[in-house]
Amino acid sequence: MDQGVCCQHVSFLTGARSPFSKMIVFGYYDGATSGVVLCGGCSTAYTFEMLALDGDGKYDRQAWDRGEEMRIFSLAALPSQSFARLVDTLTRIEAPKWPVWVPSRASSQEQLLQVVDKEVNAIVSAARHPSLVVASSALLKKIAVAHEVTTEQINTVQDWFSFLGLVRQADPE
Amino acid sequence: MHDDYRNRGAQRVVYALRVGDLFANMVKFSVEEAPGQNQRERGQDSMGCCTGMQTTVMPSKVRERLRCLHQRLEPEPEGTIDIFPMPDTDIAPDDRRWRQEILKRLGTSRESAARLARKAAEAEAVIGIHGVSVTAGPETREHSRALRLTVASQFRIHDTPTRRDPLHCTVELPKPVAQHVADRFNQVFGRL
Repeated sequence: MDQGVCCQHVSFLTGARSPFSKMIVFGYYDGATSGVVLCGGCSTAYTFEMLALDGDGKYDRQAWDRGEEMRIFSLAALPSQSFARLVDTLTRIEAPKWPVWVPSRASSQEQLLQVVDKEVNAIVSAARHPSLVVASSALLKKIAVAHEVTTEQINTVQDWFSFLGLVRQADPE
Repeated sequence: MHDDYRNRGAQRVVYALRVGDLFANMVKFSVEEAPGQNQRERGQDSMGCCTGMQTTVMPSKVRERLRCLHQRLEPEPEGTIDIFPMPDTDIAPDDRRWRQEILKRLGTSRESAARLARKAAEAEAVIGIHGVSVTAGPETREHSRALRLTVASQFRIHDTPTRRDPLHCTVELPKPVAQHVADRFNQVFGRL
């Protein structure tokens, strides 16, 4: 992460290195699809959800072919100390692994998982409405586009690629 | 091999028969090796319907007997017949879910070896398995699909549930991901 890059300076995020330094992953599909990220600049934590992905390289074929397809995420800020509380809670299952931690779902710990899940849900459900949408192939590396959003936009926008100004390439012959 | 089989003192080896390139028509056979080296074979079609045929064969004759058994099921198969042992899987081969489960992989385009290698390396770094994602759960986005049994005939499959997708699986790919590996992967998922 660049020194001084922070999630609070949204207008400087587009094309910049990611302000996020740590990630806890709740959903994974060839990369993170949901979870919580921590801003290395101001320590704000956000829940993130993948809204769309360039599943067949329709927006950038070369990037897709390299395995760097674009993903679009919504981010919703969490109350302060949420990230630390999540780490404390999930550490009961296994030791954290940084910068990307995908907590185990080993069924041998079924009872403990249920308890931990409840606590994690309680922490994550305190998130505000999403305030930011970003396009990135890897949330901890580089932000291609960042845009502030309203709750109404989150609920109504259908095509997030167009919303962020990303243009679909012509289909190959 | 699943612990249940180990615990019973009998070893089960699962073979798959593939006719030509039609993975969908693949027939699975399991061979139980009982103490005393006798083996009992059983044929199943790809949806797990047992043919009801049981015989005793010596280990050295397994492949020959499987071929004969398949020819009785399908006297005039189209294309060549391949017989190969199936890789280990995480659950019992005769488990109903295992047999009928459909694995979905997002997208429909053919994937390059470079793409699969990158995704596999990323997965290895965070979940410890050199492989790519599939799901047995519902998927509304554009995807390609294959029977779990079919995928398991070519690659090892790990159940890797996440909080968001309890039916997320990882298809383990060999290192390095060579072109022939990518070709096999694409073929299994019908990405031509």
